[in-house]
Parts: sequence; C-alpha cells; structure tokens
Amino acid sequence: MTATKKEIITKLRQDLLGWEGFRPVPPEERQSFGLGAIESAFPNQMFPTGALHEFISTRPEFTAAIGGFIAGIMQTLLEKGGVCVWVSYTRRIYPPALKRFGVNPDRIIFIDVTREKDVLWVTEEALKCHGIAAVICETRLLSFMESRRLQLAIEQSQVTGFILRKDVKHLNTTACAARWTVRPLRSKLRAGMPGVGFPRWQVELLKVRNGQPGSWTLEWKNNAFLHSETEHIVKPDTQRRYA
Amino acid sequence: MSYAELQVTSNFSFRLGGSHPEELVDQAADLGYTAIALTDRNTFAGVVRAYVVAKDRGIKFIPAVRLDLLDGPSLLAYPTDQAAYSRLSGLLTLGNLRAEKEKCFLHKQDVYGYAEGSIFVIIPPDKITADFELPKKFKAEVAEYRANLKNLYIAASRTFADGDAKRLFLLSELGVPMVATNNVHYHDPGRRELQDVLTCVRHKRTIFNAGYLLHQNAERYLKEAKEMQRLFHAYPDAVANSQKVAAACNFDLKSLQYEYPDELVPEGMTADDYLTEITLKGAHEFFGEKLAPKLEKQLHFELDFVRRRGHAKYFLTVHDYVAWARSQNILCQGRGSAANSAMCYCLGVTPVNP
Amino acid sequence: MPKRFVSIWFRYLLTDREAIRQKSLRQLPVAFTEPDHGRLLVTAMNSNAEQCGVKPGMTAADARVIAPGIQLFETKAGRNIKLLKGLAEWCLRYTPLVMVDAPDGLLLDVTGCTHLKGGETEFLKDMVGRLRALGYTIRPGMADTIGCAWAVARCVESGLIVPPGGQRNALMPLPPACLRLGVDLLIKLNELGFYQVRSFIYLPKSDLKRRFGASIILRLYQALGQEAEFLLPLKEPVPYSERIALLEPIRTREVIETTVHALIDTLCKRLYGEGLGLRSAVLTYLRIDGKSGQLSIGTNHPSQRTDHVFKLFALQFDQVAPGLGIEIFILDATKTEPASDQQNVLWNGKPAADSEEVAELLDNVGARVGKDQIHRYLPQEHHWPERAAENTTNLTQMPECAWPEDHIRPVQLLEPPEPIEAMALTPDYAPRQFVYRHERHIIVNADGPERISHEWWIEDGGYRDYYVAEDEEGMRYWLFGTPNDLPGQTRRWFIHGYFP
Repeated sequence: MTATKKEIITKLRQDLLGWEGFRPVPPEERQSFGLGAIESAFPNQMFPTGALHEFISTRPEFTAAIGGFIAGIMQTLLEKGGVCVWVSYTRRIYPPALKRFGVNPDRIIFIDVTREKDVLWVTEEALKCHGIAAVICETRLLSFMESRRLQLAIEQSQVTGFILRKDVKHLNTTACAARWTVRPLRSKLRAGMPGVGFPRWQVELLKVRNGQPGSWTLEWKNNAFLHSETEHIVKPDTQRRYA
Repeated sequence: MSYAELQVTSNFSFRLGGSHPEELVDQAADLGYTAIALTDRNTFAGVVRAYVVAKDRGIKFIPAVRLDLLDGPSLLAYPTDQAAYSRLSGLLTLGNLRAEKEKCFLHKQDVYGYAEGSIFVIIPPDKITADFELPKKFKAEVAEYRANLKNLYIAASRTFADGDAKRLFLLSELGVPMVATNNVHYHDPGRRELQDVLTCVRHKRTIFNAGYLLHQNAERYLKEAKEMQRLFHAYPDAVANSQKVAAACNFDLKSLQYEYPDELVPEGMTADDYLTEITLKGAHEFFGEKLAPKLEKQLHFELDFVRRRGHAKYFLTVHDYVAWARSQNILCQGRGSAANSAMCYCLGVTPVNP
Repeated sequence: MPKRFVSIWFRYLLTDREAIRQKSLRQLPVAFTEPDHGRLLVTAMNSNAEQCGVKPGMTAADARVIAPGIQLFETKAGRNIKLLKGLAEWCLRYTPLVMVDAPDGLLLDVTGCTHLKGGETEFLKDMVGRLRALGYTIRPGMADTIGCAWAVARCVESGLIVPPGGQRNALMPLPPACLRLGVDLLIKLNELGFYQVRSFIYLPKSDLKRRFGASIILRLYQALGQEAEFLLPLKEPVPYSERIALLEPIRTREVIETTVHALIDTLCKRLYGEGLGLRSAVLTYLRIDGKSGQLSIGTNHPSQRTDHVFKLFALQFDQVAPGLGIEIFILDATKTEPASDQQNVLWNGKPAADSEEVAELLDNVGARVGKDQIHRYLPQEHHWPERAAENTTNLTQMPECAWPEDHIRPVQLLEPPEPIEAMALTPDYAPRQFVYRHERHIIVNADGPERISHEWWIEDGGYRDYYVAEDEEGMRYWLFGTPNDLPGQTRRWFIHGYFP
C-alpha cells in the first residue's frame, strides 16, 4: 500500500515539475555548467535553462561579481552557437574582461536604453525570440506581474534569462525560478605568491522553485568553476601581500 | 653598491635595438655602472665600437651575445676568457654557415658543445599563464639546461606588465640563480618612439596598425643604479649576481691578435729575415745580379716599413698561397697599393712591374 | 497597351481658390492683378468678371470702371504653380503619374487606372465631381495623347473623352489654339483664315513648315500621336509600390490594420517572387478630405515577411489620424535588396529560421528605442584600456584580431575614471588604503604596477600605473596612479573599474 502511495507521490512530483516547465531532459541534451554541487540544488539536478534567474546586487562591486559569474555560465550557453543579448540603461560593462570567462565579447549584442521602462519591454521581446542563447537584463525594479510576463515569454521560446537587479531596496516576490546573490571573497594563492588570486565568490541561492537553497564558495580557475572551502577570513595585518 | 647591465640590445640587432653601441656605453658610463655588456642577436658585430668608447670612458665592457635558438629558450652568453670567446664565435659561424644571409640556425645541442668557459643566462617568457604558472614546456627546458650547462643563471627583468610580481616569484622557484637585467633596447627613454618605428618597419606595418606588436610602455632603457636596486628590493641577490657575472668576465678584446701558422717561416729564422731573403731572391731573378740603386732603395724602404708594422707574416702568407695558386695555373692579380709595390713584384705576388 | 491621358483645365484657378476661402466672392466679379512697370494689370479673373468684359492685360483702373464692385487681389508670381502642385498631389489617389501643366492645368497618365473605378467615364466623373466639390471650375479631356487631351479640355465645351484612335476626328473642328501654339503664330493663322484645324491638317508637311515653322508640325503630330511626348511626373514612381483604393472610406483601427496587412502582403509576395527583400518602406494614406499622412520603417536585413513588416508599421499606428476616413493606402518600397540565403556568421550554428527571428527582434527593438542603441564591441589592438574595444552598430562584422587573453581586466569600467584619495608610501607600491565615496578600503593584496603609456602617436601624456587591489572584504578594484616623477606635479589616484 505504502509503496504505491510513494510511487503516486513521485509521479505527481514529476508531473508538477513538468507543468511548471521543468522537463526531464534526455541525457544527450544535458549541458553541464561546471557548477558542481550547486546543480544538485535544482530539480532534476540540472541548472535550469529556459528559465528566469534573478540576481540581487546592492553594490557595484557585487554587480561586477555577478557579471563574472553569469559570464562563466554564458560560456556554456554559447557553446552551440547563437548570440546573447544584454540589456541595460547604464552601460558599464568592459567587454575585454569577458574573454577570461571564455566568452567572446563580439558575440553579445548590447542594447542600451535611455528610459528605464524600456528595459523590461526590450527584455520581454528578446526573451520571446527563439534564436537567442541568453538574455541578460540590468534593472532596478521587477514587479511580480512583470516577472510573470517574462516567465510566460520564456515558456514558448526556452531562452535562458538573467535579471540583474541593482540598488534593490525592498525585496518583493517574483515569479523567477531562482533568486541568487554573489558576493566577492578574499582570493587565495599558494604560499609566497604575491598579488591578487583568482576571482572568488560566495554564491547563495536564496530561493529556488522546487529546489534546495544553499550557499557555496566558488572560484574561477582554468576556465572553469571550482569549489573552494569556506575560509575563516584572516585579519588584514597578518596577510598583506604586495607586488 | 652600483649596478652592471648584462642584457643590452643595440641597433646591431637589426630593427630591434634603438641605440648605437657607443651611445649605450656612454650612457652607462654617465650612470656610473660598474660594467655593461652587449648582447645582440646571434652576432658580436657591435662589440668593437662599444669597446672603443668603453676604453675611452673607463668603464668595463663585456662582449657577449644573445643566442636565439631554433629549439629552446634564448640564452645570453658571456665569455669569461679568450678561449671561450673563440668558441662562441665558432658557434655563431656554425649557425651562419647553415643558413642564408642574415639568418643563423642554432640548436641547443650545438650550444652544449661550445659552452666551455662561458656563463649562460636563460631568458624566460614575458608572460605567465592564465592560472598564474610558468608554461610547463619552459620548466622542462630549464631542467634540461641545468643538466647541460655549468654557470647557469636566469634573467629577471621588471617589465611593468600586469603579472610582473607573480612572474618573478615563479622564476625564483626554479632553482636557478636570478640575474637582474632591464632588457635594454635603447639608452634613453626618449628613444622609445624610434624603437616603435623600428618595430613597424620590421613587421611592415604602420604605427597606427601595429597594435600589440608595440610595447605597452617605455621602460627598457638604462636606469639609474639606485632605481634598479629599488625595483629588485624583493630579490637583492639578483642585483648582486649581475655584479658577480660581470666580475667573472675578464676577456679584453685587445688580446685578440692575428695568428699565423708556424710553417710559414723556416727554422731558425725570423719572419722579417725570411721575407727579406725571398724578396731579394725574386729581385735578382727579375732584374739580374746587379740591382739598380733606386730599386734597392725602394725594396729596403718597403721591407723596413713591413718590419716596423709587424706585417711580415701577412706577406709571407700571401706569397705562400699565390705561389701555390700559380703552380695550379690559377690566375692571381694584385690590386691597389700591392700593384705598386716593388716588393710584391719581386715576391711574384703581382705580375706587373711597377 | 495604348496610353490614355487626362488633361484638366482649371479655368479660374486663382479666383476659385479665393472663393473657396471666402464664399461670398462667388457672386461678385473677382480679378487678380500683378504689378507691371508701375501699373497693376489684370492676370486672372472669374466668370463674373469675364462677363463684364474684363480681359487679361487690362489695367486695374479700367477693370474697376467696366466691372463695378469688382474685388481685386494682388498675386505673386508662382502662386498658381503652388496651387497646381497641391492639386497634383491630391490627384495621386487616382494615378501615380501626375504632372503640373502650367499655367492652369494638370496632366495625368491614367493608363490602366480607369478600370479600378469601373470604366473611363466613371473614372472621369468621379475625379471631376470631387474636384468640383472642392470648389474648382474644371474641364477635363481624355485621349490617347497628351496633345489631344489638352486640346479637348481647352476647346471643347464641357470636355470630352476621345475614343482610342480618334484624335484626328476630335481635332478637326477645333481652332488652332488647341494645339498649344505661340500667340504670334495664332495671330498669323487667324489672319490667313485658318480658323479650324481641318483647314490645314492635310496640307503638305513641307509647306506648313515653310510657312509657319517647325513648331506647328511638332504640335500637330504630337496631338495626333505620330510624334512622341512624355509626361514628367511630379513624383518619381517607385518601382515596387502597391496601392489599395477603398470603396468606402475607413476609420476604425481594426479595419485599417486589416487593410494595411493585406497591402503589405501583396507587396511582400511580389518581392518574394523576384528574390528581393525590403530594407525601407513608406506607407502613405490619403484621406477623403484631401489630407494625407506617412509612416516609414527600416529593417536591418532584407525582409520578405508580411508579419514582420506589419509589426514594424503597427508600432506607429497610434500616429495615424483617419479624420473622416481614409480612402487610399499607398505602400512604396523605397529600398530593396536581394534577399540572401546566406546566414549571418554572427549567429553561427543556429538554424536559418532562428537567425531571421533575431534579425526581426532587432528591427522591432530598433524601431522602439532607436537603432543606435543596439551595438556590439569589436577588439582593437590598443594597450590603452579605453581603446581596447570598439563600439560599433554593425551587427555582422567579424573581429579582425583576437581578444587578448593575457590581461586581467575589470568587468565594469568607470567612464571616466573617478578620483580617489590614496597615498602610496613609495613609488612602485600600491596604496595601503584608499577612500572612495566616503568609504575607506584597506588594501591587503595588490598586483602591479602595470605601466601603460599613452599611445604617443595618438595623444600626448605620460603613463598610468595600474594596480589590481583587493581589500579586506575581498572586493577587487582597478586603480591607477598618474606619473609620480613629473616635477611640480603631485601624484593623483583614480578608480577605473571593478573586478568580478
């Protein structure tokens, strides 16, 4: 009796996932983003493409960290060809830096709008377009209704969307599949090596639909993500390394 | 403590160096260096000019060379004595003979064979990899050099590029003592623009589209000793090693002489005597037993001149191979002042009676 | 196909125009005068004035005498041309080939147009009726040749439609003035008793030429159709152009949209058949009250897709003011290009349909936010950071060099760099701490200096010493200091970007 009940619940869960847009992907279509343990937090143990990811930033330094993290993911999304669209109303991106994350900056189409309200309109249009590998949108506000519209657009096209929310004062509920923050951490180098090390971040999944929120320490090394142990932050006096 | 610059490229490295050897030596003397070397690419061609100015200004000059190889990292080579200098010259000749004009093909194996008596400095790559390491291939090559060359160092320069400090740290880990250099390409920072133009000429570009072929800053000039010490404060041994290498090189160009084979002169006679003997012999053959006073006077004047200058052996050499050539029916002709020389006529070097 | 021309004579052009403005003038004699050598001479008048005996060339003073109560207006030269131009544009709804026929007429090439109204008579009736309704006194003529149409419009009471091939018969009873001959020649012909065309039409050509000059032959033959005469249209016809004329004027948005969609469809099908795509197009709508409006669009790629082109126009439908109704839509493809099958290298790897979609997305976005806001970056070989990437609106150009992989650069760049308060203990060291936006950052790790000098062939200047600086919190910044070895100048520090 109990076995059947378990089977029923599992089947229900799978169905629910299907209705919510998380289809089980056949093995040959699976794309690994190199995020390791982070991917286990998601349903089907896969980083969801064709979904809306929300990133929260409260400072420009965090926006830069998020930019690097997204670029690392974009590398995999662009593998099969296609183009990315990056929508913003304050252009600050420095394209040559993206090369370090394996992204050729000339594969990105940048759309700079002068009015903030055009950002979401352009993002929605871009998300409807089948030919696009990913859309990144920099915005301050995102209401539930607006996020719902974007989600609906994605359901047809299966484009992956990244919403980078800056200067967020109040966090509201949105229809995004995942909500992240990425904060920079002190870099590590082996003993004696002077200077600054590889980009290192604390990546947190605050909310995940049908998944497990969590926090991980991540580095970018050798053109891939690397999980690094969380370290107790050493006091500044004892670890000053100069060129 | 002063400084010695061991890595200097002059304009004798065609289209690479922006200054003359004389200018470089002059500037080094102005800066009070203990010594300056010249390391042009696969050639010793510039050393004479540098030597002359160095002697004049009273600064120690080290004739040296940068060996650019076909199959390994480049090596700076400093001969410590004349024998070592001969060997390096022989090495360069070997490389030049193998290739067409202006090129020199050398392999690591060649260097090992001619290495005796010289100090070598490895030139490392300018950049480290994206994961902050030296290229694996380079590390393997350093290991090979260590196995095959005594007196081995590695050149450490502050390039003012973004991975500089990390790079020097990685070099210090290699187990090869470091030598501080500034990879000098021009004597004064004002020469940088000329050097850029030379780069354009070398690559057949214009200044507007030479792009990354041009260096991003103008630091490769002869710097003040104090500044070099400051730049290498983290590696003081490197500066000390430059002095050490400079001190070990005691080859003075002046010691180079012509060396003639001994067989030219018969036992018991001096070269001048022998030359006089065969000249007079020839004179009698052409002009008979009695020589006219004018002719005799001329011959003695010329012989005396040769004796004073110490060129007797030279003329004997010429006489030797002309005689051999004649015996093979090969045409020999004298030119210029030789054609006008009574002595040469008597020796049979020139066929025309002056 | 034999040609058909319509000539319209605006007998009282200027005065009718005035009367349209002031209805009261209809009852009165009206004349226009122009200054000539100090006097005012009559140049145009209405029928009332004519009946009183006012003639062109008469002085204003005389006119006042013979036509008491006459309203006189001064006119500027060229006014009639302006009016005719406006009327010609109005006539575009009937045919794209309209020409101003100075001083008081219009010429239309209506070949193939008349069937749209249900035949020549209906066509002409419609046009004449509308023009009269506007307030103009006109007389039409239709014939195979320009000359004949002109002739019957001027000289036949209430106009005439000359049947195809009937020029000769039509011209016979008309006075020589119908042939557009000079005044002197007309006087001569009159004196010699040639009151009708039939009296000289059969005279030998050489005789006519000898006695009256070459122009009479030319005009006669042009009118008969034996000599070619061309119409120079006011507007150059666009090779790919479609129009829809509506039986009933439309006003509602829905109907407008359906109509425009059908029109675009026709044009796109035609372009498709010829292997062409649209790059820019203009949609003109003509309202029943004579006013018109235009919408224009442009695309990034030659497009043959109706839905896409419609969508681009649809973004501007709010600006359409139908007034009392729109009766004609004209769609001109102002720029076309061969439609290529070759895919843009930019979206390599993706199937054809997708890249079409992306091109259309960019068209739509460009229409809303401006084409210039869509751009890419291409690598440029410059050490100077601000020049390492070139901003371009070209969406297909491939990079000419590679993006350098050996530099560590910040993901966000501040333009221009912003000053910070910092002090380094010795040259060559990164600062120990810096203050930016009232926040103090203590630097624990730093790489550098990376010295980048100004590119001396582009601009003067020294160099910047860049540092990658990491603070206690792990935030990483790109800082630089200006040269510290220039006499009399203290070193200044700036923040240039943020690292990920």
